[in-house]
Amino acid sequence: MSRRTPRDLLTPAALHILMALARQDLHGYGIKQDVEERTDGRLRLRPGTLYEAIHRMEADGWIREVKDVAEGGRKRVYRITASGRAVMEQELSRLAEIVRFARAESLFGGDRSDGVALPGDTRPGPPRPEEA
Amino acid sequence: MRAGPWFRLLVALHPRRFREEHGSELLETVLSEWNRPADDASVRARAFLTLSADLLGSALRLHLRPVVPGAGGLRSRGGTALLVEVRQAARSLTRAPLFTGVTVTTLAVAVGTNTAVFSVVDSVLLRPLEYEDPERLVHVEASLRVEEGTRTHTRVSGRDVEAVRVGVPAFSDVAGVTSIRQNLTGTGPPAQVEVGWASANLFDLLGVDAEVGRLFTAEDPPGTVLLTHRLWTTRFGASRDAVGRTIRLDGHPHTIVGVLPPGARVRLPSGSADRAVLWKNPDRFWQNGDVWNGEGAALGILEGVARLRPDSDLARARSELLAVQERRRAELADYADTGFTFEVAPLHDTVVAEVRPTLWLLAGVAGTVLLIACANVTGLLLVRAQGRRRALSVRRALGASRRSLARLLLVESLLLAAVGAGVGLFVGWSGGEVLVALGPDLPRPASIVPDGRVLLFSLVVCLVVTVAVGVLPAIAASRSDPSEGLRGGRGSTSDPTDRVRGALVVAQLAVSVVLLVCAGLLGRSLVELRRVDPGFDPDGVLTFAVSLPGADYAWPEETGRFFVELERRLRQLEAVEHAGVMWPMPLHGNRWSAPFVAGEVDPEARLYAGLEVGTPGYFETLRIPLVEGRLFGSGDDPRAVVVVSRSAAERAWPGRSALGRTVRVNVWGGSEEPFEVIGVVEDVRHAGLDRDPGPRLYFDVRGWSWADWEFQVAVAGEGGLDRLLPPVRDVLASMDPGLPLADPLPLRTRVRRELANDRFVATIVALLGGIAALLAVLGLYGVVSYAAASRRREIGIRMALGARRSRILRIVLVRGAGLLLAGAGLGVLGASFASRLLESRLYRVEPLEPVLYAVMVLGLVSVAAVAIWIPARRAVRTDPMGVLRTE
Repeated sequence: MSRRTPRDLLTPAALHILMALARQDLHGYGIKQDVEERTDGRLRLRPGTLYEAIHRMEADGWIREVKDVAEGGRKRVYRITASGRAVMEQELSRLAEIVRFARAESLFGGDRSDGVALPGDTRPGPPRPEEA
Repeated sequence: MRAGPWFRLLVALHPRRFREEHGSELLETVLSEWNRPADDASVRARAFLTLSADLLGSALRLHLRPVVPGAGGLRSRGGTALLVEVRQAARSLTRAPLFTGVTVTTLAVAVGTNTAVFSVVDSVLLRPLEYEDPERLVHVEASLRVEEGTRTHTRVSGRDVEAVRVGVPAFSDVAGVTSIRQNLTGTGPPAQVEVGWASANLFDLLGVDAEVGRLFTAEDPPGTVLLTHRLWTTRFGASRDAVGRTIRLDGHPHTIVGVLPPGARVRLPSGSADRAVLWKNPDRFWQNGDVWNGEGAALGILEGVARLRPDSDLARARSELLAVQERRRAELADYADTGFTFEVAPLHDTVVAEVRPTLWLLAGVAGTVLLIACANVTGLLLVRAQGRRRALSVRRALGASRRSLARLLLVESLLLAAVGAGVGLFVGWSGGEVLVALGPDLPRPASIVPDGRVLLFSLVVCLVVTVAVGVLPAIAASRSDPSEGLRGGRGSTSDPTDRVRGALVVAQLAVSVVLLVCAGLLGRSLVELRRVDPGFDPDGVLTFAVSLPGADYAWPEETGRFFVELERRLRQLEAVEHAGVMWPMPLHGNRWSAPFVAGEVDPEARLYAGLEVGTPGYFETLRIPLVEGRLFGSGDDPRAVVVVSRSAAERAWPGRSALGRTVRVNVWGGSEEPFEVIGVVEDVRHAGLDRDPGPRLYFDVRGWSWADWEFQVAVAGEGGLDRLLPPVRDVLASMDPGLPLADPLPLRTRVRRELANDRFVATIVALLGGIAALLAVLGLYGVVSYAAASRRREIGIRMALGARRSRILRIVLVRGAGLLLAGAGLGVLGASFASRLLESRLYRVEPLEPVLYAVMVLGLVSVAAVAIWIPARRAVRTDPMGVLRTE
C-alpha cells in the first residue's frame, strides 16, 4: 500500500479487494486469487498487506465477516457492506472521470481503443449480487 | 531451509487484536505461498525476502497506525504516541551531534566486530560439513608411540582400512583417502595438480552423486578418474564428451568416467584432499594403499573415512575397533613397541580442531569489546539523563508521569542502539570477508557467507545492546526525585548514577588491562618465534616443485641423473648462486619418517628420524652448515652413504662421533639396508618454527628410482622471483618441455606464512585491546570531569575561602585515582587468570611475566592519568566569583 495516498483515496489494493467482494463473498485466500486472476497476475496481494487491508476495512465498516455454513465455519468469509459498496463506486467514478478527461485531452496515445468501458458507455457491466 | 518458525515469529509480531482475528489465516496464507514449488534457490530466496518484508511492513504499520474501530482504518493517518515519541527522540538526538556521533560509532564498532567474528566462527565451526548425514562421518587414523613417551599421529594403510571395514560392524562402510601431486598432461598445457586417491566407495560413503557420467565402482580397473567440477569447466569446457576421454597422470594413461558436482570437496584434517582437482581410483602402487618395508609391514599413507550405521555410535565403534587393533599390533610385531592405536573422531571435529581455539579466542575478545562499548554508552546516556534532570523535573512537576518520562529516555536509547547497531551490522557483514582475507588459512575459506544464523546472531547482539544501553538510564531517570532536580544548582555528588558509572569505569579499566596484557603476551610470543633460528637461511632462496613421470624415467640412473644435471645447469645461470634438490624441504608441509637402527648402540632400539632425499647442493643453497665430515660426492655409492643431522647423531651415538658408523634403514620399498655415515649437518626446523628439530637422515637421490615422485628444487640468487624464475623455467624446459614447474615461492614467504596465524591473532587482540583501553579511558574522563563539574560550587566556595590549590586538586583527583587503581588492580588479577588460558599459544613466554604486566598497567595508567589531569586542572582554574554568581 502506498504511504503517499492522500486521505480520501483508496489504495489500489483496497479497491481491488472491494471489487472482488462486490461480485461474491470470499475468504482471504479467495480474494487474493480473484485479484490475481482479474489483473492477469499484475497485482499479487501479499499476505501481510492483504490481511492488514481486510482488518482496516472491517474497522471502517466497508466489509464484514459472515459465517459460511457451507464451509463448516472454518474460514472467515467476507462480504462487502453498503458503505463499502458506496466507497467503491465513489472511487470508481472518480477514476472514470479521470479517464474521460484523459480521453478528451487525447492523453491516451493513438486511437481511442483504450479498452475501458465506463458507466454511460453502451456496453453492459457485470451483474451485481444483491446484498443479503 | 525451514522457514516455518521464522514466519510464525513474524506473524506473532503483529498487534494482539489483529492476531486474534486474522493470525491463523495469515500464517496459512503465508505458508502456502512459501510452499509453492520453485525452480531454483534464487526464486525461493526472493520469495523469502518478499514475504518477510511484507509481514514486517504490515506489522510495523499496524503498530504505528493502529486500527481504531470506526474512526481509524484505512483512512486515518494520525500518528500514535509511539511515532511521536520516535520523532521527538530523533530531534533531541540530532541536537546533540557529538554525543550521538560518539555513541553510534561506539556501538557500530562493537556490533560490527562481533558480527564479523561470528560469521567466520559460524561458517567454519558451527556449520556441519556438506555431506549426507555429516554427523555420522568419522575420521580414522592411527597413532604410534615414539620415544620418550610422546605419540605421533600417523596415517593408516590399505590393510588397516580393510581390517576396519570387516571388523567393525558399527561402520556401514569405510574408505581410504590420500592425495598426491602429479603431472597432468593430455589436455591443455601440462600442469602439476593435486590428485586425490580414493577407494571406490568414498563418494558413495559421503553421499555425493556424479553430475555427469558415474562414480567409481569396485570393478573399475586401476586408472579410472573422476573430474571435479572446476577442472571439468576449466580444462574440458564443461563438455559432456569429456567422459570417456583419456588423460595422463605422470605419463600413465587414465580414463575419465565421470564428473563430480560443483562444490563437492573432500574435507579432511590434512587439507590437501580439499585441493584435489581430480580423483583417481588407485592402481598397482596403491595395491594395498601402502608403502611396504622389507618385513612385509605396511606404513600408511591413507586417511580413513567411515560412516556409522544409524543404530550405532562412536563408543560402540571404538570398542569394536579394539579387537582389530590387537590383530594389527600382532601383525606389526616388529614394531610391538610402537603401540599402534587406532584413533577415531567425528570428522567435523578433526577438520576444525586446529583452528577452533583461535576462533573462540577471537570471539571472546570481540564479546569483551562489546561489553565495554555497552558500558561506555550506558555511562554516556546516564550523564545525558543527569544533565537533563532539570528539564525532566520541570516536566514531572507539570504532571508528566514517571513512566512516560522513562519511556522517552528508553525510546531515545533504543533509537541510538538501533542506528548504531544497524551501521555495525552493515560493517560486520563485509567485515567477515576482511577477517578471512587477512587471516590464517581457514579450513573452509570458500564458504564464509552471512546467512540466517548470522542475521539471528546480529539481531540478538542488537537486542542485548539495546537492553543494556536503554534500560539502565531509563531506570535511573525514573528513580530521580523531581524535587531534587528543581532545587537550585546541581546538588552534591550523592548521585546514585555516579556510583553506577564509577563501577562501570572500574570494570572497563580492568577488562582493558586484561586485553592489553594478553595482547602483550601474544606479541612477545610472536617476537620469540621470529627469533627462532630455523636452521637454514631463507634469504634469496626460491623453491619450486618438479615431478618426473614414471613413463619416461623408470630407471634409478635416470631420475638421479636428471636431478644432478638440473642442479648443474641451474648453477650455471647467471642469476643463480647455488641450487639443490631435496624432498621434503622444510616448511613445505610434507613429512616422511621411518625408523632406523643406529649401528652398535642398541640393535633392538629403533629411533625415528625424518628421511630426506636429494643432492648435496641443497645444503649450500639453504646455507645449512656442515658440522662434521662431508657431503655426497660423485664417487660415492649412493646406496651406501648417508648424511645425518646433529640431533640424529647425538641421539644415536651420544658423546661420540657419528662418522663411519652404520645406520640400517629401509628407505624405499625394499628392506633395511646399511648406510655409512659420512657427514653430520646442523639441525633444521622442518615441521614448524615452534617445534623441535627432529633427527634427520639425508640420502643421495641417485640411489633409487623416484618416478612419479615430486621433488622440491631450491635456487639461491639475487633479484627475487621475477629475476630468477624465467631462466629457471627455460632450463627446465630445455631438459624436458613437458615438465611443469609447480608452486614457485620464495622461501622467506613460507617462513612468514608459518607465523601468519600467530601474527593475525596477536594483531587482532592488540587492536581490540587498544580500542577497549581507549573506551575505558574515555569513560574515566567522563566520570571525573562530570564529578568535577558537579562540585563546581563547592570548589568555588572553598577557593573563595582561601583553600590551597593542592587541596582543590586533591578533591578531584582522589575520585579518579581511586577508580583507576581499583580498575588496574582488578585488571591485573583478571589478567593472571586469563593469561593461563593463553598458555598453549605462547612460545617461550610465561603467562605471568611481571615485567609485561607492569609495562601494560603503567601504560594504561599514564594515559588514564591524562584523562584525570585535564578536569583537575580545569577545576583549579575555576573562578570562584564566577561560580558563585551564576548559582
